[in-house]
Parts: sequence; structure tokens; C-alpha cells
Amino acid sequence: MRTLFFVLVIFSVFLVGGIAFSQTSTPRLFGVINDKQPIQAKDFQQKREEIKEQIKKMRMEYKKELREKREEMKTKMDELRGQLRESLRERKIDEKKSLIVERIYERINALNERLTNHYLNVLEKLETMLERIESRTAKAKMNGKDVREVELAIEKAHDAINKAILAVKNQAEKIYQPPQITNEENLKLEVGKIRKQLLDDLKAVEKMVKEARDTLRQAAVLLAQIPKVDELEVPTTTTPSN
Amino acid sequence: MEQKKEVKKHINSLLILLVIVVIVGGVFFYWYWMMSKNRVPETIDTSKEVERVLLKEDSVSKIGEELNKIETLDLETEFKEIDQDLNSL
Repeated sequence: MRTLFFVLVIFSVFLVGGIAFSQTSTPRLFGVINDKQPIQAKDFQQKREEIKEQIKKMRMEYKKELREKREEMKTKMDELRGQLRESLRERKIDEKKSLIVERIYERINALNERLTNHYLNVLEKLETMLERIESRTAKAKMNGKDVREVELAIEKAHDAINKAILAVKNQAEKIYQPPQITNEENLKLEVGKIRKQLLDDLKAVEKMVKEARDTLRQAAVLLAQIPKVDELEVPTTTTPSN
Repeated sequence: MEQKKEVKKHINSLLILLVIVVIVGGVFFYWYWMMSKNRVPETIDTSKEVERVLLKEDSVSKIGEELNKIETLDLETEFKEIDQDLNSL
């Protein structure tokens, strides 16, 4: 009985994980083009357009979700701002300093929103570049070129982009708690703590975005090493390589 | 006399034929010259086509160019306003 329960738990974890991953994973051109089957240039282009459309749809859906989530977050943030104001008043903190603390708290959450939007834009561009690299790689493969290394690099880039997207999404949905107000002397220290927390979180996300960009660049570099790769197009009769 | 007239007639026919050959040759030459003249822009179009192919959105050169443009904002700069406020506490 215990074993059955254990197996069910493991199965559920994988199922939930699989669903979550499929929802966040970028649609792939490699997934719809079978290089063993000959394909016409027109069909190839059509598949590309379909993938682009799917990527666009996913982005729009997520942006809509995030907008709704942020509306909810606004209410929560208003509550937290009220609590902070109350706390500053209770501790009889100087009015001028109180205003500064409130402004910093406001800016912390605003900066998080601004930078997560920026990272999402960067990752959208990287996704677009990834699709283009896949298209050029598929064309090279259809012309009998050895693209195994490029394909491996593409897989790495794909994983790195998806991990970064997930990290940015989690970061975008964070609300920073107001600083603990004890007395005027500790004000700078307490406010400095949430400033540090935001900086550390953003640095971690930025690192993942930069890694995604670097892995994608690596794939592009490997692709560029194929002679005359930019001149290759979908052949009329494909000669797939193994 | 009759023979002389016959020879003159032949010469005239030959002259007419020569004139026709010259005119036809001239027309042909003019046509060939015009064709060669028209071929020049065709060569330019071909090179433009090659250039267009090289700048296709999925070309490595274009991808590399666009990847180099992708930059992330500088975090320290973004925190400047917060830091100014923090220092005034």
C-alpha cells in the first residue's frame, strides 16, 4: 500500500511537472519538421509561420495573465503601503524621512516591474533568434551538412531560455514586503535590507538571461562555421544526413 | 547590246540585294546592341538578389548582428534613484 502511494506521488510530480513545462516551453520548429521526409520550400515556410504564430500567441496569453496578476498585486501593495505608513506613524518617525521610506518602497516594487518587463522583452528576442537559428540549421541539414553540434547547442539554448523565462515570471509576480520599522536610527539599515534583497534577486535573474543569450550565441557561432550556410535553402529533393 | 542590258540588270539586282543585306545587317546589329545594353541591368539585379538572400532574417550574419544588439540594462544605474534616497535617510 505504501509503495503504491509512493508510486502515485512520484507519478503526480512528473505529471504536474510535465504539464507545467509544456505550458512554458517554447514551440519548436524542430518538433514539426521531420528531416527524414522531403519537404517543399513552401511547406517549410508555412511551418515556420505556424511556429511563429504559436510563440506569439503564448507571449500574448502570458502578458494578459501577468496584467491580471499585477492588478491583483496592486491591491495587495496598497495594503502593504498602508501598513508601512501606519508603522512609521506609530514609531513617530520624522515626516520627511517617512516620505523617503515610502518612496523607496514604492520604487522597489516599480523597479522590479520595470526590470522584469525588460528581461521578458530580451527573452522574447532570444526566442525569435532561436527560431531563426533552427530554420537555418534545418536548411543546412536538408542540404546534407553535419549539424549535430549545432543541434546540441540549440537544445542547450532552448533549455536556458525556458529556465530564464520561468525565473523572470516568478520574479515578476513577487511583491516585496515593507521594511520593519523599529526606530529612526535603524531606518537606513532596514530599508537597505529590501534594497539588497531586490538587487540579489534581479542579479540572479539577470545571470540566467545572460546565460541564455550566451548559449544562443554559441549556437549561432557553430552554425556560422558551416561553409556558405547562408546560401543554403530548402532543396527540391532533400538528402537528409544521419 | 542585249547582253549588256542583261549584265546591267544583274548588277542592279546585286546592288539591291547588297543594300537589303546591309539594311538587314544594320537592323540586326542595332537589335544585338540594344539587347546587350539591356543585359547590364539584369546583372545588377542578380547581385541585388544575392545581397537580399544574404540578408534573409534566418541568415547567420543577420542573426549575429541582431544578437549583438541585445543588451541588458545596467543594474547599478537602475538602482541609482533608490540609493540617492537611501543615502538621505
